Amino acid sequence: MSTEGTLYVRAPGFVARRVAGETLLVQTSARSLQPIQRSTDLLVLNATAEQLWNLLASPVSLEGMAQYLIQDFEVDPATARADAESFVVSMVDLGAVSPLNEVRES
Amino acid sequence: MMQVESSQAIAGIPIVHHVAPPLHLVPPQMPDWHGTATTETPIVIRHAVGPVDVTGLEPLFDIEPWMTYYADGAGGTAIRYHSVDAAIPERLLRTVRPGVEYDVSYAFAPEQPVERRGKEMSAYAIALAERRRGLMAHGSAFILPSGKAALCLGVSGAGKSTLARMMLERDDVRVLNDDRQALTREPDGFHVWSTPWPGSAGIANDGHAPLGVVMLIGRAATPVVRRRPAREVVRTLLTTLALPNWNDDALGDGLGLIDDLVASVPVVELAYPLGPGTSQWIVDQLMEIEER
Repeated sequence: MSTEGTLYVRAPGFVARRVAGETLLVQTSARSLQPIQRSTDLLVLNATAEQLWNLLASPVSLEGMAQYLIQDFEVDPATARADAESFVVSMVDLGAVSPLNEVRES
Repeated sequence: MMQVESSQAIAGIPIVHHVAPPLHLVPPQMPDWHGTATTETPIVIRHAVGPVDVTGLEPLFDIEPWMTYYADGAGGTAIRYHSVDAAIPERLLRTVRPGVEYDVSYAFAPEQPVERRGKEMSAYAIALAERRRGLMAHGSAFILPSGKAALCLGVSGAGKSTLARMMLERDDVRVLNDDRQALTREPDGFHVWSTPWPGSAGIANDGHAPLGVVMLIGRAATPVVRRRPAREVVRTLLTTLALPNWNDDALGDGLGLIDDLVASVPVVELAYPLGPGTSQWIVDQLMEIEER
């Protein structure tokens, strides 16, 4: 889904907030693939997804996300990479995360 | 000559209409509504014939067939009311000053006087959220013998008005409204305030009370009461409380209000058959839950 070093960052128009012990990701605007829709669509983020969402406040690569998961969740590199990629794919599909144009991490 | 009309305050907030000719507002639908004392600056709604131009507005969501919500790019919202009848013009409500002032443009001047309910209800719900005072709730409410309010949330058809009618027959319960309430966060907790916008039962009585219990209702052959974990009711709350989806900060605060609500007020699911004794059973259950 990406070339090495592609950076991803949160797209505007989504708010994550802890409600009743869960982190909800709620869409606020039309900057998604489906511009007209009923409110209130939401996703519940698990602990891993919540951390990745926090990480995406600044541009970060899949490798950067995987590295974070390896360190903080003690998963093996292959699992970390797969989890990060799965999360990013779903977020990009939703419109909640955008790739920066092939910017390489320096 | 400009027509200026003020409505009684709802949760302390009055609504003032400025209506430019040839538009003319119909009288209030609830002439016996007295509202509350005024404690906040009014919401001003200016009505005039003018262009319904959504250029530059970002569509958010539709409520078919009635209206489309937009973000105005400045942190506010706009609502385009569709013309569902040839005699009713398309209208556009725009935020002038968030929480305070709203303009409504009418594509043409209708022959009939302008209904105030839709624009009032929309502007009030928007302003309540933008003032960070609370959220408009789609639900019926009544005050229990304990003095605390029970708020019954639900979308249209859930049975809110039926419940309100049932409670109206009781002497120990005061029904506030069968469809819309202002839910506010006050220093001593959440409060429920009646509004002048009733549902199919047509009930809109003055009053307000601290919130004691939130209820979700359903039908069942035998009465069932179940305390619902907070995480299970969040989706229902998100669809029955008017969240400010057009503004990230305001939406975050609205979600925070819901978090506080489920943490501080019991939420219970009641399913019951309609029949003699049902209202007593409901009151008994709610009193027991609220007093725990």
